[in-house]
Amino acid sequence: MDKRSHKRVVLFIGLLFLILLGGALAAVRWIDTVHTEELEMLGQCILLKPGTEGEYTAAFLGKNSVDRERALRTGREARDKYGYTERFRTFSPSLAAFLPVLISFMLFCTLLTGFLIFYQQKKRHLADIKIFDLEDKLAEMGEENQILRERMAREEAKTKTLVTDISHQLKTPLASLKMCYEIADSGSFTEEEQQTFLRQGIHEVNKLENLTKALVQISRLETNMIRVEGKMESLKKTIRGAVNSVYMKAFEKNITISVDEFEDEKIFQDPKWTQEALVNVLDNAVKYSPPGTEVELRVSSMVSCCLIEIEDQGIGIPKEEMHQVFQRFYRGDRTEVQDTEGSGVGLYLTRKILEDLGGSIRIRKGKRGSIFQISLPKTPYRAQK
Amino acid sequence: MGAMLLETVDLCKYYGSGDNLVKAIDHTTMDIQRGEFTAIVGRSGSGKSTLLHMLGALDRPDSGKVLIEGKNVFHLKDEQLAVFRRRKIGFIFQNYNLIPSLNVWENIVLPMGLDKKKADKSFVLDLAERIGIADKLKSLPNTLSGGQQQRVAIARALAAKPAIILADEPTGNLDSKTEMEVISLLKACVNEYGQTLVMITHDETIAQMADRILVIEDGKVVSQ
Repeated sequence: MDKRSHKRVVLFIGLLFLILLGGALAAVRWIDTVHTEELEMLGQCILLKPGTEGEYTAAFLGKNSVDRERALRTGREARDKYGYTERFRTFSPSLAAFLPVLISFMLFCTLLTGFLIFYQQKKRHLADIKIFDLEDKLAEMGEENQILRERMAREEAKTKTLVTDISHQLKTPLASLKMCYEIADSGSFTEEEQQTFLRQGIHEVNKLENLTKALVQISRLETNMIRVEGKMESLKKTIRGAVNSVYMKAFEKNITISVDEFEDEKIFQDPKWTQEALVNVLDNAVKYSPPGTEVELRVSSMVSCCLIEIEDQGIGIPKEEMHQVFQRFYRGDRTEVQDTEGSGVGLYLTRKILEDLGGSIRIRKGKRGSIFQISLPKTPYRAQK
Repeated sequence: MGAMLLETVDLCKYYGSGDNLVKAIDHTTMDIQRGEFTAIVGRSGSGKSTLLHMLGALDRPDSGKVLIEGKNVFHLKDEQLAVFRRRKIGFIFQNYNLIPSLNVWENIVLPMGLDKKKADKSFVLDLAERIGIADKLKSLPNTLSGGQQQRVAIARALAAKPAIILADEPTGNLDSKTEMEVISLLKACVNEYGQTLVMITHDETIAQMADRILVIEDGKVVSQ
């Protein structure tokens, strides 16, 4: 038994004791009243007939030999004769005196019962909620188990799709590479044609090399072989590094990359991976912009995060494709996209890196091209995994 | 027990009758996994808010089921449902729904007070710090900007650590940069505390940030 049920038992015994005490007191008082009335009656009889004191006393004490039936009959006759009806009909004074006690006792009992019922109901209600809580907890525990199992299944499925995706990605360039060599090897083409196919072959090899690099990064990130580890580092340094690494490519295409002046801040990031994420976005901007345009990078310091906006004047992204470009290996099917070299990995990686750091990315329609909005939290972020 | 955190099975909710019958939700079956950020996208009048109200057990459907952790929420008694809702679900609305006479701190801990739970003070302070309202805890809501008020609403929804956060156009009144900040903040917090986020929006650029997008049209989920 716990403390609460002890309390309840004590309360119950106490109440029982009170009830019994009340009952006993009332009974004693009633007996006392009846006794007093009888004595008063005896006294009146004696005073009316002073000579017969002994007989009356004996009658009251029930010690005489008068037949009780006869006595009752005589008493009735006397009542009928003298019309004592009122006196006999009303409550006897003893009962009347007892009435308030009786009523308060009954009131007390009713209140007590009411209280007990109310108390019981309240208890039951609490118990209901407790059962509900426990069920909830049980469900939660089952759920946790379920989540673990689910997570395992998901990991497995993820690895499977990753393998499938990668093999699929490798198949096309490999097939065209094979074709190039077969043609270059066969004697039915001119020297010049064979040279062209060989050059095409090298091009495919380069493409394959780039793709493999990207794939290695993906699989490392996905299988958690590499962890993006955030620490408080200068944002300006990271942005400078990112811009520098695409600068030559932009310069060759006569595209200006301008960075608006901003106050440097130390934010929560992994300099290497954050830079990689930014490079991918900048690289895309350069890749899909016509020569002579501008890529603008703006940084705004918000309350809880830093917002980096990269706006280009490129071909833009159709609304319905905007959320798909972050999917692994997704590439738009417009000719401008298909003619440009790419593996559909960059933006996917960018999003993954940013999310691992507690940041986000989205694309909005710009004045001419697209605006990539990137947020990175200023304070450390620890995701549940 | 279902594997999903949140499920609807053949959910229906109609308003009006005869020619005026509006099928706000029409035989909708969907599920949401734990830890997922789902955006429910649809034009105004597509039934998305009604769906969110059902998911949050704020409104009863005409037919069909809403299961949270495998439990049919509409089988609960009203009082149990209220308790269940307060513990399992945090709500964020477009117009913030803050109580003007209470200061920021009081607004944040109010739902826990209703549940007779003690607020985890250090957790709420951490949260306020993270969300960027730590210096505003004594202020009244009407002295704050829209972005700040929405941050308070987010803190209120997260403070009791519910399993599910339901947000109805949470950034409808904010500018693009603040919008981006608020959504990423919400997303990061939800990931950090292992919660599940369901957000209603008509804005595809917000939906981009979700793990999964459900498109709803005329009360039906048309693509997942």
